[in-house]
Amino acid sequence: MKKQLAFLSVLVGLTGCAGPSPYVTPVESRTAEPVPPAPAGTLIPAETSSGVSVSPVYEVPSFSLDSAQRSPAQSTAPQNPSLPNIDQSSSAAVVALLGEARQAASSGDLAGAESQVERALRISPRDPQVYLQLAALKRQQGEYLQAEQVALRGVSVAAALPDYKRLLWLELVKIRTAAGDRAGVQEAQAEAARY
Amino acid sequence: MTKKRAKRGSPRTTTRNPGGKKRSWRSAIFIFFAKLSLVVIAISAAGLVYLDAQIREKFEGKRWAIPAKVYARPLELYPGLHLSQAALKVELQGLGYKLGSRASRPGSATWGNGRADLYTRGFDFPEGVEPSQRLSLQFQQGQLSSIRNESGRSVALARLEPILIGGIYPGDHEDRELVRLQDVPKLLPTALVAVEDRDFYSHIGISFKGIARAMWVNIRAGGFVQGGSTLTQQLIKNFYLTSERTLARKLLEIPMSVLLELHYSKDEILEAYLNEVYLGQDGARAIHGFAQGSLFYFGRPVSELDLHQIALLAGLVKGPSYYDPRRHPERATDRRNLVLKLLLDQAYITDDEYQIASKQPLEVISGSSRQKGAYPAYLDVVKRQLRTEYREEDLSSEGIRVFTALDPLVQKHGADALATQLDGLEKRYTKRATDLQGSLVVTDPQTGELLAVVGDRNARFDGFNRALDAYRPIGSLVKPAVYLTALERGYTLISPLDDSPVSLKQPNGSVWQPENFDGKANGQVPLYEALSHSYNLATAHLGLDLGVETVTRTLAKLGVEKEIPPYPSVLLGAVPLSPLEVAQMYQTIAANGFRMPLRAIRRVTDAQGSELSRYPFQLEQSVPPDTVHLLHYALQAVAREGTARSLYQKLPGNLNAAGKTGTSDQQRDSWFAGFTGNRLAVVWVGKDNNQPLPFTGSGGALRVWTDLMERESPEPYLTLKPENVDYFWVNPDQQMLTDPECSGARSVPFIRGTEPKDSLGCFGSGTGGANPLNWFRRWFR
Repeated sequence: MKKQLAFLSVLVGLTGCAGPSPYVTPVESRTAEPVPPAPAGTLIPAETSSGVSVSPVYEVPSFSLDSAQRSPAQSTAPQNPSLPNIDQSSSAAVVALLGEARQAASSGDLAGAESQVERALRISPRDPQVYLQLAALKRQQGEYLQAEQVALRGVSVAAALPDYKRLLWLELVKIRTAAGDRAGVQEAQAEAARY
Repeated sequence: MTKKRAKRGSPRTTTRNPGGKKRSWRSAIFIFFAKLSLVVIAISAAGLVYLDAQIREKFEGKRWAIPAKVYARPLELYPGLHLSQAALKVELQGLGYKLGSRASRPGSATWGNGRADLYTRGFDFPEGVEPSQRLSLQFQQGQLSSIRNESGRSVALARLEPILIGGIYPGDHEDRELVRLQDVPKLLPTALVAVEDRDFYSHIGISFKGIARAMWVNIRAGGFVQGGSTLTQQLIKNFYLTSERTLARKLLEIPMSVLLELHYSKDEILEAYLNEVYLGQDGARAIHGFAQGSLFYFGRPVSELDLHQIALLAGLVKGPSYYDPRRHPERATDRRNLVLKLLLDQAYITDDEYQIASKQPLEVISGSSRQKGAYPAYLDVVKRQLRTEYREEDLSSEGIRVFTALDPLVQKHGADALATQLDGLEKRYTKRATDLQGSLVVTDPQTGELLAVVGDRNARFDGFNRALDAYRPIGSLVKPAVYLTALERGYTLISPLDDSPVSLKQPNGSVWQPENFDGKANGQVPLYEALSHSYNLATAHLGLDLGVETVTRTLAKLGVEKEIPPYPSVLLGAVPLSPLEVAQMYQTIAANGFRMPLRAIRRVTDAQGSELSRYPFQLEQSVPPDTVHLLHYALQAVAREGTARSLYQKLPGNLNAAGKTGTSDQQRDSWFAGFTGNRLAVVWVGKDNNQPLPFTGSGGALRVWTDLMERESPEPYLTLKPENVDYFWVNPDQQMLTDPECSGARSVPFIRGTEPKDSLGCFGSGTGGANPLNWFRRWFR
C-alpha cells in the first residue's frame, strides 16, 4: 500500500492533478518531492524535479463553477485567484474587439463587424461570447447554415457555462426561426429551458 | 506612305484645275515640292500629335502593372499574449525595424531587459487604419505582460504591420511598389539629380549642356564613360521605348522628352522616374522603383532610409548589376561615396554628415533574411487558391492586396525544426539515410487557419512542394478514422479487440496478411491501447468487422475529399495523401468533430483597400463531439504511453498533446500528426526516390514535430467534457468498474450509459496487467 501511494504521488506529481470540482482547469502549484524513478516504459515525464507552478493557458471561460454561475453580462474574466492573470488581460482585448464589432454592426456594417469578431476568435477561440456574437452576425446577414454551426460550436465550447449555453440556444431559436426550421426551433427552446 | 499620298495627290490637283493657264515645268515642280513638304509637315505634325497622345495616355493612365501583394498575418499585441522578446525581435527584423538606442521614428525599436519600446509604422488594414504609435512593452516569463502608449495608458490591443511575404508577378517579372514624391526622403531626388542630371530643373527635356559635358568627359577619358541623357530621356527610354539601341529610338527620344516636359511638371516627371527605374534583380524578379529597391536592399520602407542608404540607391541607378552591393560591396561603397561627395560639393549635406555617412557599412540585408520569397510553399497554396478565383492578369497588374494567415514565427520554427532534425537523422544513420526530404503543415486547431507550410528541407527553395504535391501512403495515420468509426458504432475505449493474425483473400486473388510492427500478436487488448500502441492486427480485425466502406465514409466526414477504394489495406493506411490533406483530416479531429476548411487567405482587397473577397470562419459539425472526445483520450494515450511517448522527453508534461505516428510499408514514409491547444502540425519525412528509411514515424517525423513544438512552446491541450460523457474508474483488461486506488485502475471517459455495469474490488482482480496510470483523470477531477 505504501508503495502504491508513493507510486500514485509520483504520478500525480508528474502529471499535475485533480482539482476540487469536476470542471476546474488544471492549475496547481506543485511542491518539489523526492521522486523515485518512473516504471520503465510507462511514462516519460518531462519535469521530474518539479517545483514548478503549472498554469496552462486557458482563455475565458474558466471552468470553476463560481465563474460559470456569474452572469455573462458582468465580466468574462475569471475571478478565481489561482488562475493566471493572462485570462483577464487577453479578454480585455477580446472585450475591446467585440465592442468595436457591436458598434460596427449597429451602424449597419455587418461585414466590418464580422472582421472584428474574427480577430477576437483568433485571440480567444474558446470564449463562447465570441461565438454568440458571430452567430448573430451570420444570422443578420442571412447565412443561417453558418450561423447555426457557429452557435453549435459555441455550445460545445461553453460546456461548463450554463448562462452561455442558454444564450446560445436562444440564439439558435432565432436562427432557426429565421430559417423556417420549426422542429429545430422547438428543440432549441427546450434546450434553452434546461439552463 | 508619304510618297504614295503625294502621288495620289498630284493628279487630283491637276484635274481640279481643268483648262487653266499653262504653267512652266519649273513652277509645276515647285508646286509639287511645296505640296509635298506641306504633306510631310502635316504628317509629322500628326505624328507628333499621335506621340503626344501616346505619352499623355500612358503617363496619365495606369502607368504600371502592380503585382498583387501578399501579406503575412499582422501580429496582434495584447497583454497575456504568449510572445517572448526574442520572438518579437524576429518579427521586427522581418518588418525591417531599426533596432537601436532610441525608438524615435516609425519603424524603430529599442531593447531593454524585459522590455521593448516600439514606434510602429501604422497600416491601412481593410478593417480600418491602425495608427502609427509609440508603444512600451513589458515581458514576463515568455509573455507580453503589459502594453503602454506614449501617455502611459495601458493598451488592450495593438497591431503591428503585416510583413510583405511575396507578390504575383506579370510575365516580365517586374516587381514594383509605388511611392509618392512627398513620401521619399528629400535627399533621394536631390541625390538622383546631383548624380544623374544636374540640370534637371532647368532643361527642357534634353540638355545640350549635359551632352557637351558628357562629350568632353568622354573625349578626355578616351571612351564612353558618361551619357548625356537627362532623367526625362531616361524615363522616356524605359517607359515608352524598347531597349533596342536603334537610331529610330534615339530620334524619337528627343521629341518625346520635350513633349513630356511640355505637359508635365518636373515633380511629376521625377516621381514617375522614381517608380520606373530599374534597380536590381532577384532571380527572375526585376526590382523596379525606389520603394521596391529599398525593401530589396534594406528591408525597410524608402521613407525610413538614412543618408548613406539613399546615396547607395541613387548610385545604383547607373548600373545595378555592376554596382550590386551584395556581389560587389567595394564597388558599391565607392559609388555610394562618390554620390555623397557630389552631395557635399553641391552643398546639400554638411561635411560632418558626409564624414559620418561615408564611413557607414552598406547595411544591405542578406538574401536569407529577406521576407519576400522566404515562404514559397505557403505562397504556392495562396496562388493556387487565387488562380481559381481571379484572372492571372488581374493578379499580376492590379495591385491587389492579399491578407493571409501565415505566421512568420511559426514558419521559421517549422523550417528550422525540419532542417535541424533531418541533418541530425542523416548524421545518426549515415549512409542508410541520405538525401532525406520532408515537409510540414501547421494550423490553428481552433480556427482552421493555415499558419505555416514547408515543402522542402530548404524552406526557401521554390521547387517541388511536398506539402501539397507529394502524395504518400499515410500508414497508421489512418487509424483514428477506424477507431472513430468503432466508437460511433457503440464500441467503448475499453472494448476488447482481437490482436491475432489476419489473413484475407482479396478479390484479385492475392492474400492480405498484415503484421504488427514487432511481428508479435498481443491477444485481447483494450481498444484505446490498440490505438496507442498502433497494433495492426487488432485494427485490421476491427476495421473488417466495421466494414471498409464504413471507414472510408468516416474519412470523408473528416475532410478527406478524394475517392478512396474500399480495399482492406486502406485500414492500415494504404491511402496516399499529401501532408495538407492529412492536416485537414486531423483538423476535424482536433476541432471536436467540426470540419473547418483550412484557410490560408483571410481577405483580398483592391489597391485602394476595398474588399474583393473574404474567406470567413466556416465550419460544419460532421462527427459528434462526444465520440471525438473519446478519440482524444486514445490519441493522448499515444503520446503518454504509446508510440509517441518520446515526445515528453522534450516537451512539458502538462502539454496533453494528442497525435498519431505513421509508418508506411517497408518504412518508406515517416509521419506524425498531432495537436496541442493552439497548434496542429503534420510532418512527413521520406525520400524523393521512395527508398526505405532506417526509422519509423516516431524515429523521424515525430522528432521534427517535437522540435517544432519545443520552439513554439504552444498552449497545452485542454478539452471540455461533453455533457453526454462521464468518467469512470475501470479496469480495462477486465472491462469492469473498479476503485481508483486499485492496481490497473484508470479513469476512462464513456458515452453516458456505455460504461461497464459490474464492479471489481482491488483484490478481485489479482492481475496487474495494465499499468495504473491515471494521468487522464486530472482533466476533469
